[in-house]
Amino acid sequence: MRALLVLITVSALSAACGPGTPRVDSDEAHLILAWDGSREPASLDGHIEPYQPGWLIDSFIADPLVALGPDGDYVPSLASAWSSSETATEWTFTLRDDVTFQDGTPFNADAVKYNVERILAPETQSAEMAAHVGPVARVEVVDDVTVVLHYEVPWVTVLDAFRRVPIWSPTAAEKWGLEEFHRHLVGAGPFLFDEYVPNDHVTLVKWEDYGGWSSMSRGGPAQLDRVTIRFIGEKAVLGNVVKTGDAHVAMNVPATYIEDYRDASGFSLVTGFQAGTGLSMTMNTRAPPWNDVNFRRALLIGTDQQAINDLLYDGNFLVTDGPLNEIHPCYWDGNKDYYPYDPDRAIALLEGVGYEDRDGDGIREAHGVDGVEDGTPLRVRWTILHYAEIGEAVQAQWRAIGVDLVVEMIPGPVQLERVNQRDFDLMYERQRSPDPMLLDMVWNSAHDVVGGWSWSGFVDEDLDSVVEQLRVVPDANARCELAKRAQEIVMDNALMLPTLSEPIFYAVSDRVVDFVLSSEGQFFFLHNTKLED
Amino acid sequence: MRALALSMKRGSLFTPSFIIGVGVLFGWVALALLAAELAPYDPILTVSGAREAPSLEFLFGTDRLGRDVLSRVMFGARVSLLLGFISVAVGGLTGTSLGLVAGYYRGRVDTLVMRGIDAMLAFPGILLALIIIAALGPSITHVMIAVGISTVPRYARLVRSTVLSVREQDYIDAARLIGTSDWKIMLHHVLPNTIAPLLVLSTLQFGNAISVGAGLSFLGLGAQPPTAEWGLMAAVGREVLGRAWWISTFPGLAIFTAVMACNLLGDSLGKSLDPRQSAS
Amino acid sequence: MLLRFTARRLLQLAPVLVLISLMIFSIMHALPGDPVQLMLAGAESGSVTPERQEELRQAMGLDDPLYVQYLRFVGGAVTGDLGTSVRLREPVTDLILARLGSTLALSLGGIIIAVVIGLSTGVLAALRQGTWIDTASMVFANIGVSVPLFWLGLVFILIFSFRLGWFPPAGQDGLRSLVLPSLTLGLVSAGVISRLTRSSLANVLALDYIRLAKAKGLPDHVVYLRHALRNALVPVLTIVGLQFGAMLSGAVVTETVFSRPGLGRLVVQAILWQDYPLVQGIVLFMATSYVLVNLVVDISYAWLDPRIRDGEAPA
Repeated sequence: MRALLVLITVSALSAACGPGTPRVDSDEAHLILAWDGSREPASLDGHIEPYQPGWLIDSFIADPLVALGPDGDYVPSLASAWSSSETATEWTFTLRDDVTFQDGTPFNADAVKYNVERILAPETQSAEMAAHVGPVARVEVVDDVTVVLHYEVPWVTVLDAFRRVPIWSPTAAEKWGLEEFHRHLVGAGPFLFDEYVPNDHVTLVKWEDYGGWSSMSRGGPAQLDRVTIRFIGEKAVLGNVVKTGDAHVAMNVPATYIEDYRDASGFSLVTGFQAGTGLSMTMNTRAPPWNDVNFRRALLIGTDQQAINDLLYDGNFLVTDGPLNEIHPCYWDGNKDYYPYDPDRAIALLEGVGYEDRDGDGIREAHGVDGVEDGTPLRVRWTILHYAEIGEAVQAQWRAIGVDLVVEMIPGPVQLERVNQRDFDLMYERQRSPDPMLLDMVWNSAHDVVGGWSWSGFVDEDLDSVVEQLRVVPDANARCELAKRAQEIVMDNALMLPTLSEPIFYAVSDRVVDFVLSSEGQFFFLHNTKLED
Repeated sequence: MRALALSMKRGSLFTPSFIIGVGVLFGWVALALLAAELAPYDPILTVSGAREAPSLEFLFGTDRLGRDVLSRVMFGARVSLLLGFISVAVGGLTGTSLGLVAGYYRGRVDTLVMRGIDAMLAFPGILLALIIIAALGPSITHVMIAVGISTVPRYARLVRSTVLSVREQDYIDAARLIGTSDWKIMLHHVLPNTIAPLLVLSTLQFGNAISVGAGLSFLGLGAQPPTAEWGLMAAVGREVLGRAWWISTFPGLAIFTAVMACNLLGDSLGKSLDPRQSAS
Repeated sequence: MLLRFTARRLLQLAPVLVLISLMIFSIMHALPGDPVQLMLAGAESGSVTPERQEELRQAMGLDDPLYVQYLRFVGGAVTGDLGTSVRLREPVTDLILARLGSTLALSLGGIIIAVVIGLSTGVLAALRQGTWIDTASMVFANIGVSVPLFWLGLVFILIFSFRLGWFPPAGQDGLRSLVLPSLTLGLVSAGVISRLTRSSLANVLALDYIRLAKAKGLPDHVVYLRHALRNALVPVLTIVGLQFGAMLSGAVVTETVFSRPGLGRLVVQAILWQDYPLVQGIVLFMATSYVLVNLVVDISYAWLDPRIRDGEAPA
């Protein structure tokens, strides 16, 4: 009995004392990154893992074919050149010939073929990465340094996909199989995978034989001996961790803490942005009064995004005013002043539609609104996955114009159910991509099907024809022109309510040099990063 | 019941515990009912800058959206007290019926019911409520149901043991002999004896329901934003704990006082009804 | 015979365990919720076809009739296989074992604090009945029982972490990070133990004190206090067993407040992820552990008090 007690006590005590943080050896250059624990990846094998944070970790272990640099241009990494056919159904990559994987095996076209096929194989159950890579009919190995991807349909976002695909060593992946490989990752990146303690940390160590083949590298192995990524569950701790010296870089610092780092000595604030739609709300235009464009416009005019930004985030988020946010390469300037905030005008519009407050309770009711029974209060549902506080702020603003906003926060599966049944008023929909093809995904009525992402129910030939070309036209400038036209149509018809775009805040200690962000703010590069004293 | 009236007459009921308990509880009920009139501000409107410290204008400060914390705490009382009532009602009715049936009929029925009760008691603390929420999904209504269901065992056990001690009495046999239906016997003879201990248990369970409900909301499994609910408010305030302590602290204090009042009241009632019962 | 008592208790255990597993399983499958949609729900771009969803659903065995799934669940549980987490793609058993140490450490810390504080204040109150020490102890115990766990944790973090900087506010970095969570968890139980100790000891003291005082004149405090304490501690032992359940339950909130990687926090996350296999596995594990611990307490109770194992006195 006593022996058992002792045993239990000892094991519990050892659990209390460890795993804990790995101890820092002062002789080695050991970079400690603090991450938001809620963004901890489920699996470190990017082919399986659906979330970006996992892919970011993979990028330190495995260089991809191309990289997206800080200026928004795609630069060579393991591929030295690329081209696509006119119809974007064939993509040819020319590979470097001097690359080996961390296990010594050579990198070549066969390796690329293996990786693409692994992603697309049904056993891998890759939902996200497979969707990005697209419908590859076959992968053709021309020679050791040339590989051609043959697509079933034109696929214009190949580069955006392959900047994120980790290229794993086929030998290692085969040897460990799908089940075990995520614990024994082998790529051709600057760092070796060392260990992963779930809910605690991931450790990477320098690969001495890294040949600096990514354009993001200055050549040769990394400047850091060891990198530890610590998962911090408590936001208050994450906000303080760089200040207290327990980490050198903190990613996704909560907005309420960034002022601590902005102008403080010893630290700096690095802000990354993500191009895309921002935190946007798609309107369900099917049933009255939503089918009346003036009603929709009233809501847009009655929302002051700048005020929300100032109230909730001290102005640190990015005000978004249209279907694409300002940092998107194909952003249309016309978005900016299309619906300036004007509560009086919003009220006039609502009254024009037929909503008045006759019973004095502060909320308007329908009086002569087409398709709405008289006396029905003006209640709008704001359905979201997160950032409830933005909805609450809008709630307060709309109360002033007589609209009763009901905020409902639901989990992902419920959102899909509601969308499939078209049971919503304003539904949260956010897409992040520097490519304008997302406009086709969201606004082409052809995708208004179960499982599709076009939810508004609005059908317009003009809009459809503009956005569907985004799937087939490969030239970047032409795509942006199409995208701008699409934005104008969406805005004119008031099909969505933009709010804010969340930046990614990094708190960085001054000891860290050459910490480089991609133009997509949730990616960064450690190839040249150094720790100074 | 008689014991309660007796102690009231003797004045031994009105201990400091009792008075404080009743007073605080009454205060919260009043606040909940009159929140719309008494609250200085609207609980969902932004009335000032975000995260302002407590001041004369805003006694409990403002939260992340610049809303008055005091007003939100007042409106939060509605949710929490309603939660207490419904949980106790659900659990109490179900548990009492089960206990009555099990204790009166004995035999197979008893074994069946008690096995079920034992299994429910095998889930420590909030675990049973937790798994019910897992199935139903996070929402305050589901919390009420879940907490209610998890209190069923305690009611069942209490009622059953009271029934067991009463059923052997002569007057029960007499009633049965003259042909009174089981139903009537349970209702008229057995049930009245359970009222006193049920009252004590319900008072304590009321406080417990408020506490557990707030805890579940704190975890994100109960009330959802933007409901003004004490546990939820504390959870939201957690992110800025270091710099805006009032957002989490005052709602938590509200829960504390309400639960404490219930415990004090329950304890003093228990003592009045049975001097041997209760630990202090 | 202690052995027969133990055997009887073990036999009674089996149906309870079956009932528990049945309850867990049926609750989790009460309403339709689609784990497959969950897996793909976080994906914000790219469309996932209904065919793909069906493929995945079949691969996970979700198309089989319920009773088959239940038998699979129970059969697996008995052999230690609690299924695979949908979100984390790892065996539930592995995930539980990885976090068990953390929760055990916290529970141990909590129980130690609960027993030390609870016993001492309870004994003190019983010895000094009617004085201000008694009242103060019982007020303290009352507070402990009423205070919401998460709020106590937050207050501790605010005062001892943010303002005073004595202890870390989160994480699992050595013994220092165990202090605040254990205090939080333990203080609530301390209240319960304190009240029980006081009443139990007070009862015993009332008896023996009078008897011995009559028989011997001035009683030897030390001798009979030890004797009284031993008698009084028996019901306290049962309560400690029950408090293990309170530890497990309290760990859910405490680990969340203090960001500790334990079972409690994992089960909350699993619920938010709607990761049904993980929720089922953890809850089954916790409930079973609780039942087993109570069994052990019952047996040691019987071992201490021979009357119980012979069935003479109520357990």
